[in-house]
Amino acid sequence: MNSTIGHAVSVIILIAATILGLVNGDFMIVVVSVIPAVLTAALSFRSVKTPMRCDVLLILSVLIFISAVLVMYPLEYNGMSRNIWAYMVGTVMAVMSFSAAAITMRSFSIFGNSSFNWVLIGSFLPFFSLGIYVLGWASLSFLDAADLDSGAILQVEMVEGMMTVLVLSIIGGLILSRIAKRKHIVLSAEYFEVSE
Amino acid sequence: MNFTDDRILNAIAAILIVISFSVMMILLYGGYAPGIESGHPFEYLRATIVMCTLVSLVIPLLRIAGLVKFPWWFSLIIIGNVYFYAISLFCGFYLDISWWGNTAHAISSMVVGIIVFASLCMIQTYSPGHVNLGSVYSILMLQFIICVAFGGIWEIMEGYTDIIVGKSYMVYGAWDSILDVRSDAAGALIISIMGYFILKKHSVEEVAKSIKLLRRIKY
Repeated sequence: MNSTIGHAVSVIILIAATILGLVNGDFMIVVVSVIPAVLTAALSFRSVKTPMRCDVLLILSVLIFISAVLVMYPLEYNGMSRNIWAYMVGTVMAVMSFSAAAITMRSFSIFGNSSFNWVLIGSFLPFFSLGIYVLGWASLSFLDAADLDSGAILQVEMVEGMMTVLVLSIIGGLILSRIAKRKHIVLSAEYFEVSE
Repeated sequence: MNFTDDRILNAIAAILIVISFSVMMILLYGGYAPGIESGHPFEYLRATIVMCTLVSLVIPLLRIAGLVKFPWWFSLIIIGNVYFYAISLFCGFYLDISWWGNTAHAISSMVVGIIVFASLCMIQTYSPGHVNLGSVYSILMLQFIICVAFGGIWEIMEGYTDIIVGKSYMVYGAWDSILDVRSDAAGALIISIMGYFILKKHSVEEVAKSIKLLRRIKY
């Protein structure tokens, strides 16, 4: 990714997430947004030239996330069913964490000089997505317990959100691994050309 | 120690596992399980004992079947962790001692972390040449994130168990679950740090070769 675009995307993610977090009083948005922002910045600092479709995918997923949160938050505060809310949050988080997982694997392939074949892409991505999502919840534990006990977050939101992330990322991982197998793609530093 | 001796030892271990959990079950039916007084339902403890027996038997049975040979310390910590969970529930520690649940989650996460760490070392060693997990840091990061994901899978299992049976057996609220995943992350981090020091002294191949895949599943 071009470093100017990379930095711009990172800054936009963080500013948008902070504004949304402040407006809605929900720190979770900022926490989740930091992951792709930092990864994008890290990639662009190394001046890595990723294929254009990867950049487009990243920017699209960020836009989907921001617009989905903008639509979903007012819905929740207008008395929407918490179960439907949980599945919607899970779906958006799956897109986000899947994208973050793909970016992480990309960064691994560059920083760690690693290369993943289609089997590892398919099997690691669900763990990556769920792992990143779970880390988001774990970071919530540092917030005030009283807010959680008062029902700000329901158990069902966690469990069904995690399940949604897991199922969708397994499907996504399978699709991605099939594409990688058919096109003989191996995620490696050679695939993502490093300019320096 | 030859193969036959090793099989006999594992057969003895399997018998001891069945006997010890049977004793626990007899005590449960006899009304001597402190966990009942602490608030765990009888049927939940019974199901836990059955599940823990089956899980504990996996490693000895794999060895008896001639499929996998794990280092003794590896088998010990896995089976020990299952006993730790079962005995803690049986004695009601999860409900009686406030910090027990979080500590138990961190310990379990460390056990999972060890398994993931060993598995990644094996993938790195036995995969075809074009597959490479990368540097030591990449392997440790992979280990951390996969281990945390397993914590999530455990929470999903707990949540859906309660949803399916329609009772609150395994989950005590959102805050409890969030603390669980935080403890899982802490346990995963500890193993990542330990893995770093292990890989400073030993190569990935050395770690992988300490676990022997037997002929039937080796490729």
